[in-house]
Amino acid sequence: MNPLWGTIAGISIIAMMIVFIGTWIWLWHAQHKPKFDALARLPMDEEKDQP
Amino acid sequence: MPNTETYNDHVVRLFLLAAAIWGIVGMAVGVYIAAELAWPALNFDIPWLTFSRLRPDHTFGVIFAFGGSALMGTCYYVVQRTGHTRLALPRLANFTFWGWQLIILMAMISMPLGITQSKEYAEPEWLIDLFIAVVWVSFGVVFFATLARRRIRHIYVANWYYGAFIIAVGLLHIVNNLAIPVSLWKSYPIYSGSVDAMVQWWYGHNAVAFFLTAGFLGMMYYFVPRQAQQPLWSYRFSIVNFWALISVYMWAGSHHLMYTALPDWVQSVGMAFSLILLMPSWGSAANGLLTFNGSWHKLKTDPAAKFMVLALVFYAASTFEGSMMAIKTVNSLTHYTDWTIAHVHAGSIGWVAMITIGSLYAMAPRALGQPAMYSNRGMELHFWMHTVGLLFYVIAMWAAGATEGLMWRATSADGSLTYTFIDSLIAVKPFYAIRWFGGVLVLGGMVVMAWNLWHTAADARAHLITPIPVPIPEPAPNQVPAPLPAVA
Repeated sequence: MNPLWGTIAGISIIAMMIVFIGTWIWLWHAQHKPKFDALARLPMDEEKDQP
Repeated sequence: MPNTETYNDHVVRLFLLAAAIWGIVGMAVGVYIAAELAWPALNFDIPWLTFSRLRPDHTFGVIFAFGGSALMGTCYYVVQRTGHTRLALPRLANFTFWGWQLIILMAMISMPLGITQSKEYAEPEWLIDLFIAVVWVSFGVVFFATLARRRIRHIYVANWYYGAFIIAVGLLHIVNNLAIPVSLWKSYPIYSGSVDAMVQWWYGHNAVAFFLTAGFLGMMYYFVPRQAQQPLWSYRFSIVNFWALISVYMWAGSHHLMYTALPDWVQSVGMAFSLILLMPSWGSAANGLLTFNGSWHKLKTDPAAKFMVLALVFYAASTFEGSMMAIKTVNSLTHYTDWTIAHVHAGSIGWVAMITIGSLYAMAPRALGQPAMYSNRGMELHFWMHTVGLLFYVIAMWAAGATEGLMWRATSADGSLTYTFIDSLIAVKPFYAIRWFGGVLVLGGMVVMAWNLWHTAADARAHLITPIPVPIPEPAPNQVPAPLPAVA
């Protein structure tokens, strides 16, 4: 197997780790908290929206 | 402007009815073929009554007919509620219902007649596959068109799972069923040899991933917080788990082909990704269970909540078991034994059926214009019949699987096999009878649910239901897509 594949695989793994950790940091940023808190309650709205 | 827009629950009710009927049909076939394994004379030497001909009817009946109808019905229900909008393209939505029912009938009649591609979970022949593709794309068009007209800016996480389920299942179905027809009812796949096996199990495993997991997680992420009347434990965690799950699942299919002609490194990739998969699987299970914090008292009185909690417990248990069974050394003991049957039924009767039943009990009264299900005691009876039947089933099959695995690998001092195959068959026969009894209890529970739904639907049958108005929220500043005006 061409050693280039090993390099590509290594770079891909590092890129995926960065994306994964970046996703966590983005999600836990304080500015998103109000929006996510509201979304977490969205299914409960069905009860109060009933006529 | 007066609010005159209402939710379209007509098609939801149709799918609810279909799920109840197909649940009974699919499980009745399962009970019959389980009886055939314990008492083989029950096939009466009639070709279309044999286990091999009827088994695809059981799997297609419970996965695509029962599970598919429940998924499509709840998907249409949830996407309207979480977007505060009416279902788009109502005629196309009705077409997806009738088209899906026609497909089920065509598949379940043709397969016992021997018309089959012989690909597990993808048995229907090319003509039916074409119909499936058309109906599935239509389902996707209705779902995404409804999302596009939502009035809530953010797409709620349940819809992400439903969306992944729709896109991935369409992709899997089309790629795995590429075939060259040679007559109306016969075709040959374009793949051959180990490539055919790999494509088939890429499909087969991801049918589990995106049909039996992602779709039902969509159901869970909406109905669990609603039934618990608690906010989702961690919305952020649900997003992490979503991306982790859909990124990892696609690579795990080769664990179905351990110790075969598949290259060894491909088997190792499948094993490694199967172990990683445990994290997002347990993440979603934990998120669902922790959502019940503050509402655990509901388990005393609310059978729908009981179904949901036990479903999440079995989701965690069966995904742990699946990851362990993907380890090569464990797989050498479990593969080709009834342990696999125990695993798949812990997932299907435990996780899939219980989250479906819990969600249907949560959704049905609202969709049928009632404050609650007709009989709470009926729901309670169903819960216990299902739970006890499930335990009889999986414990019997775990015991049978361990017995087979150990007997098949036992060797005498001279290196010869200690037991013949028939020895192991005789040893597990009592477990087959116990498994059949467990199946009877589960099927009986489904009949109780159908009876309960029938009575809950009395007003719907008499056309006395008042459509539910869509709450029109104030639009967010610069909302994209722009909110729609209320329409009749």
